[in-house]
Amino acid sequence: MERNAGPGRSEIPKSPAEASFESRNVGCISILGLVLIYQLFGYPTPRLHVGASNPLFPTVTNDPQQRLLLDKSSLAGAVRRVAVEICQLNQGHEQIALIGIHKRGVPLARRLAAEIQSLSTAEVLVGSIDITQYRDDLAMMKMVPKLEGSDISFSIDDANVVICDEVIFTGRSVRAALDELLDHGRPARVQLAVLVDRPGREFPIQPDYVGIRIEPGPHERVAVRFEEVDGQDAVFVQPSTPAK
Amino acid sequence: MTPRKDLLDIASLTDEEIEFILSNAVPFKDLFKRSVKKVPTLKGRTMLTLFYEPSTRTRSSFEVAASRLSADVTHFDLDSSSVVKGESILDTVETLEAMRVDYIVVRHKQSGIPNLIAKNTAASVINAGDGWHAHPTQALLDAFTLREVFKDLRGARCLIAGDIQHSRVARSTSLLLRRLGMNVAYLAPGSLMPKGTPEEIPCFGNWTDALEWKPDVVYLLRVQSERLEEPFFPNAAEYHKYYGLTDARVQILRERGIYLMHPGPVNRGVEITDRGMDYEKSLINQQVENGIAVRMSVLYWLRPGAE
Repeated sequence: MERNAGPGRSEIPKSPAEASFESRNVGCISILGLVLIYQLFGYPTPRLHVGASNPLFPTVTNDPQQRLLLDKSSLAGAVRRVAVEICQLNQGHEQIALIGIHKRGVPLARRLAAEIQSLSTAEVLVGSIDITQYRDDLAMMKMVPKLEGSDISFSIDDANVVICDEVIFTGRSVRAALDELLDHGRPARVQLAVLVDRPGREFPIQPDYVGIRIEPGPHERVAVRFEEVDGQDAVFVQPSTPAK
Repeated sequence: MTPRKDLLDIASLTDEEIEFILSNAVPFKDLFKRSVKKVPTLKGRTMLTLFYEPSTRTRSSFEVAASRLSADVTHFDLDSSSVVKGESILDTVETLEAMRVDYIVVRHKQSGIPNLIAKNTAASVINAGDGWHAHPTQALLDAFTLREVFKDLRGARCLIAGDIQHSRVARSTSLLLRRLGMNVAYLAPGSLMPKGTPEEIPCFGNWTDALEWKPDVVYLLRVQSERLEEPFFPNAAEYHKYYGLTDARVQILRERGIYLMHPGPVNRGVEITDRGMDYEKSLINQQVENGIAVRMSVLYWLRPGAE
């Protein structure tokens, strides 16, 4: 069942709680990026075990089982870091199209766009896609999801696209997003930016930009909260609710 | 939203289900602007159209809708089939069941046939018009079209003109528009005005009175040519003069900014004129386009085998 719950946010993870702030591209992060990391986290070690007892990440919610991984300012820092990397790896491109996956990939794309605009002279376009019609598990879902619709008001033919999503886990959402994107046009290049990378891939799909890597315990899920959608900026690890 | 197996009429839909269908139709319509106008949502499913009454528009609208959802589409050709040879409807349904069809779109001249079929198959059944009873997808596409024009349907006025008595379109559309808060009135010759019309629907016998009611939309019904031989109408010219949308009446609509709708196909010279067809506030083509989006939305929501 859990396997099929795809493109998913509700599957059972496999490994014990562990998290790291290391970036996939640590080697090529600029001085600026490193400075940002030091400033934001004051913590030079790339690997960081996160737990309820960690003084850096106190449990501040009413739910004792819910652990805060990123608060408002550290979430902003992670977004900024991803934006810096996007700028670095897209140097020389006049245009970057950020396309957020509904629902929380959309605020992520908007925030990345704002950061990139302050860092680069490239033209930044923002769109959104609702992957519901491309999901591989629609017929298995008990409820039929309401459609939000996609909003890409520019041509993506020959565009330099960065798909944005808040969490990558199985990779099924991204598979669906890629399929949908190709029905909108033929981009020159497609990259993937996520705020949280969680192991558990079921497809050969990897992000190009990662805000934070987390390996939560079994029966835990990663919950990203954005003010625009949820009224609060935070990343939690919480017990996964039983599949509906 | 919980999926349902069948869509047989408007009356059995909840307000939430109506809203779900209409709001999901918006992103489906947005697909039509893309280079690839289809989504893989119903890949591997089969939709079959079973039309015991002739229809081109509704059938092709369903077929386009299903194709854009990547379903396979097939048509049960009744003219050349064993139906002509006397096969009963339920025998036909049994055959379709064996073919493992997922969606069956039915039109029949007798009310209630889609319900009968729905009870005897695991496939999802969509009523595409049964007798005088119902034509729910037409009503939904009409409501969707009106919602594109009026942000809020509540309080808007729709005058339905023509053969109300024999019209399943009038029945379903009128019911749905009223549920969405619109005011509905009828304009028809006395012989074609249904008995027992609900009190809240004003009934008019001529255009002058009907236009004084200040409609925002005039919804013309098709005069069914087969009925022209029946005693309801003296003849087409007479119908046109008294109940059709003449050029002079088109001018009145224009002056008052009244929108025009028609379920199609139109009879030029009977309920409408060439000028009426060219009227700039006609929503007729929009209705056709929206019909595909709304039917996609219905197919998306229904689920074969659901409770």
